[in-house]
Amino acid sequence: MSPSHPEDEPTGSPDQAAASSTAATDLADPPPPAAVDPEEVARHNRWTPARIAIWALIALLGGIGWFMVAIARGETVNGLWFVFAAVCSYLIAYRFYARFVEARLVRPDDRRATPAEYSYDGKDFVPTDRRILFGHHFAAIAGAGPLVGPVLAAQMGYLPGTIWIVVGAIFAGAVQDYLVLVISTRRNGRSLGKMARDELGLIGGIAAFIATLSIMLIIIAILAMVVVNSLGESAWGVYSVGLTIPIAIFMGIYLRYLRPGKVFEVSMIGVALLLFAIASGRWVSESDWGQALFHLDRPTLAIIVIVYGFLAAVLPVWVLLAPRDYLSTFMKIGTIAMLAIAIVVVQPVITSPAVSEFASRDDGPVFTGSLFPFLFVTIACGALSGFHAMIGSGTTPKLVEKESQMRMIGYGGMLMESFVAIMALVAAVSIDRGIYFAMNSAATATGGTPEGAAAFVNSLGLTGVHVDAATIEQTAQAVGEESIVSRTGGAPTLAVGLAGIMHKLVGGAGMMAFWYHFAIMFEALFILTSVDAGTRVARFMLADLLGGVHERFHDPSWRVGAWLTTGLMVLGWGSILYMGVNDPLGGINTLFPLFGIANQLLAAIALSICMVVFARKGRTWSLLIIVVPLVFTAAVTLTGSYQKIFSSNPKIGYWANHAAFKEALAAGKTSLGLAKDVDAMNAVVFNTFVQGSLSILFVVCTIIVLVVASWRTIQALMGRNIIDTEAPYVESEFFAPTAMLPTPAEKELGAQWREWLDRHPEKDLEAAGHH
Amino acid sequence: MSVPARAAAKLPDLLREVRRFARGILGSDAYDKYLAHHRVTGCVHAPMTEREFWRWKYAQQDASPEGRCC
Repeated sequence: MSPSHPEDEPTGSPDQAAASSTAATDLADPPPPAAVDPEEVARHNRWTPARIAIWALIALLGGIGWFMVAIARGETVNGLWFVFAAVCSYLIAYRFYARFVEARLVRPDDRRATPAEYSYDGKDFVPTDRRILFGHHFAAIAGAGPLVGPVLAAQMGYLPGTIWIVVGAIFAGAVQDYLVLVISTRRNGRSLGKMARDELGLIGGIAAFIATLSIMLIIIAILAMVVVNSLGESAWGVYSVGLTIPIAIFMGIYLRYLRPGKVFEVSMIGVALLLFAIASGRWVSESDWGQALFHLDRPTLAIIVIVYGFLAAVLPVWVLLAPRDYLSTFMKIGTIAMLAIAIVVVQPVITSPAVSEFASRDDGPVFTGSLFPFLFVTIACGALSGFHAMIGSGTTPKLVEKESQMRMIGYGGMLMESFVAIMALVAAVSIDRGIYFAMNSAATATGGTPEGAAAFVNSLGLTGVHVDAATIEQTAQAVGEESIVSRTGGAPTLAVGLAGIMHKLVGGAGMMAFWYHFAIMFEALFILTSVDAGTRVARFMLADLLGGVHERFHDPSWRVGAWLTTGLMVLGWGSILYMGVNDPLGGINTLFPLFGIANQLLAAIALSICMVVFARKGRTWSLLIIVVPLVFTAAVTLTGSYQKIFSSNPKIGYWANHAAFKEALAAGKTSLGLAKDVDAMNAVVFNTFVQGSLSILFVVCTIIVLVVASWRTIQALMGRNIIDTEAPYVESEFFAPTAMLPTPAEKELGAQWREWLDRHPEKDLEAAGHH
Repeated sequence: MSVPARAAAKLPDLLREVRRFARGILGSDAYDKYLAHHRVTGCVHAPMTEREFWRWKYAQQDASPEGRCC
């Protein structure tokens, strides 16, 4: 691919001149090979005694870690063993399983140009250093999901969650992320929705579209609920998180008018202001005016978040979203690194049991339902996340330099996300179990008071758990909150755990309140960014759809259309948020399974698309790499959906609950279970109707996709209906190493390329002169 | 050179790499990439100034938004 030289005098047509100049260049001074010779690669990868020793050591360390976590039955277990077990498992999976998937299924070809090279345009399609791209991709997929899910899953003890987070990521989540990245990159960076339409046809495409849009709204609503729950009745929290809005606007104005492009500089200022906001929160929350202004209840906060969501999505990007994005990227990476270091240094001692009493029951106070399928549903993003497939087929495929790098970016990125989930789990189980249940049980169960919470938790019949109201109050004071009772949604629990670990590393007991609010702030920051970004994406999806009806919707600068579509989408997730916040049964506890099921359904759709693509490429037995996790995910989500829809147990089944409350109202009762009056009962009737309907919508769409995908896969295996939707093969004239560190052969080839590019600077797409 | 001296000599390179990474992950090197593209394709007209570029970039993001994960 050669850009034309304006200085060339056209002899014939401009194309002829360009072609002849390229041909002349190629003959006289051809580029070095685009990839290292495969024989050389094989030679470098052979097993030496040193390598065998290292891997044996890693396996041994991992084995000891898993033994300590899973099998040894002491009084306590050290959090460090979780880190060893997880990290060693990831290393082994990356080196052996990911390579297996790469060799058998993906078969990357480094002599083939990626879209970053052949569609190079300097803005969306730019070859990007693989290590920077890894960071960018990880920052894009990292979110609150792996932080919240494992915290809730800790209800069943630390072991089931740990096993699924590690094993699920290795065999399902990382495989999905990797394969979606591969198929999108080979299609010029196509989005998941378009690939669904291509591979699954009209009906499958429509089902995938409906599923994607509705799932996105649910995810936004639940995440918003996590924020509302963590900020309810917390003046400190509302003040610090509220302050991020003027800070972001200030950063936006600074970047636009004062110092355009100085992103790092303005982010540093922003982070400093954030830390000030967190620290000054104590003083504000203890003052009268602070309490009057910032002490807000959840329904009020829900309205504020809804209004904020609308404004943030209609305002130009530079005002709020872009600055928040910079801040949250900074905070994400910084906090995750800090937490990892803290756990390794502090080595928190875990007193919770490996498998709790609730693992064999289905009536847990944090989430109802039995271990299969609801543990997997609750953990969602930590192990397998369909949302990643949507995000991952966005910008990353347009930036990848070489096909062989996708293992590191796609598979490796998800492994890192899974590691974040492990750390969140360790933080959650490092707090006292009594406190954990006091914090995560519904308000209507605990009564909202420390005494009620203590009574409720003690009545659960858990071994070794006896908590008193004084301890609960003390913990609340230590973290600078009025009350921690029934602070559901996972974020406050994680914050307490994080504060408990971080204050031992930095600051001491006096800093616990700072660390607690730091943790709340950092989750709220990127959740609100997700809400904003997600609303925009949903709005564009809706505008695309409506554009078929009324042409003007396709025009992004049409203000009225933008406001209308944004308003509709905000109404969509806002209504679920408002409903959840006012739910007498404890909104997040009943809605989180819906979020998890939605996420896993999207993952099933993504895996189905991959299955069809690779079947059409002629893979046969290696399809099992996709089929096994797909079948498992389908089993989990279909069972979960089935139970949520059809279970006759009102604690689990939405419709059973709906019927129970309807009957009670008809029979003239004025309270039932956790609903203490007729209004509450009516609310439950309505809420369960919405939840039940959404469950039916998701599962119907997913079944359609699964059926269509299975049929097309079978057809492909029989050699029929094979279409090739890949972008045409373009010979690569670009070189980049594969792994994190370049091999000696790659360094040598890189040096040859640097020399050649010095002679032909017009071919230097990366232009920064590194490697 | 002794080991500490060699390490100290490598420090500016290391810091430069860290800065390159941070700018890459945050996306603040977008203008540099634009200029590189401008140069590589041999465009005759003048490139956008940094101020113009960033305004254009954010307008682009308005027109085609990117999701941020869960």
